[in-house]
Amino acid sequence: MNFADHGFYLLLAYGASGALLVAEALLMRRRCRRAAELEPGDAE
Amino acid sequence: MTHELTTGSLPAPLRRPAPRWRRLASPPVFHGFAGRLVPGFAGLATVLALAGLWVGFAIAPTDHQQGEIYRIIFIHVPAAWMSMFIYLVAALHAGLGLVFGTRLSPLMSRALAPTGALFTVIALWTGAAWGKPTWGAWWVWDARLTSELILLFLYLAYLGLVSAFEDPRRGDGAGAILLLAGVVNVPIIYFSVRWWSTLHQGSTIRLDAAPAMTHTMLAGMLLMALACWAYTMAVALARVRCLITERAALEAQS
Repeated sequence: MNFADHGFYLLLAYGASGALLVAEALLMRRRCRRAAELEPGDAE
Repeated sequence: MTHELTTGSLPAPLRRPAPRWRRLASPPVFHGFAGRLVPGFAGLATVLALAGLWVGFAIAPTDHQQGEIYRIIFIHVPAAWMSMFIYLVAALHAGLGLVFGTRLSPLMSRALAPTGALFTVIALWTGAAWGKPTWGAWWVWDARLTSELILLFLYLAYLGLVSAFEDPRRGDGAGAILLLAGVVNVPIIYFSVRWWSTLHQGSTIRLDAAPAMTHTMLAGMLLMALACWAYTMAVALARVRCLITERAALEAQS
């Protein structure tokens, strides 16, 4: 495999996609922690 | 004279308990159920993504026409599929909420929409990263690209609309109508490459024809598609738990 020609574009595509997905998951975790503080006890 | 038979009028031993799947439509029950599923889907998404990337980058051969740049399809195609699939599922929940008045359905639509918008951005972004070295342009006003951009605007309009109402239930109703109206765009995206002469290539995988790629390329793409699906399940279920808690807190205040 030779990524010399298109390595930049592959990095751009996968790097940005990975960063966006991880950022969403981390933001979700933070939101869940905040929501858990609203719970009086068990939500069920 | 009419006789209405309701479960409330029956003695306790004759009442049938609601089946489990119907009890899951209750937000408090679903809150606990979703909480048990989130770690499993998150783990599954990680394993499938690692396997998909390994197959896509280490096993799948180099394309004889495009070289290595074709490997963008392992994220681009699954993201594009998920952008349309999530929209349809969110619209289905919106329809269920409108018709049956179920409390969980609009929350599911709200939980799915941000992830759908994210996959639309990823599909457009990775398509641009593929288009620049292949077509010589980051963007062209092609039917497939333009209809996918309209999908992003629909997601953003929905997210803006539901958060614009002080009463979240009114926001749910308005958002549901917008989601259902926008469903017409999904077949336009899918069939755009057949209906119009587009720069974007035709579908690589079709239900009525054999895939135009080697098995290892197909395996890598399907693994990544499953990883994106498992990721969506994990994030949407986690988000709907937050929404259930927030909605309950809001209703308790009013």
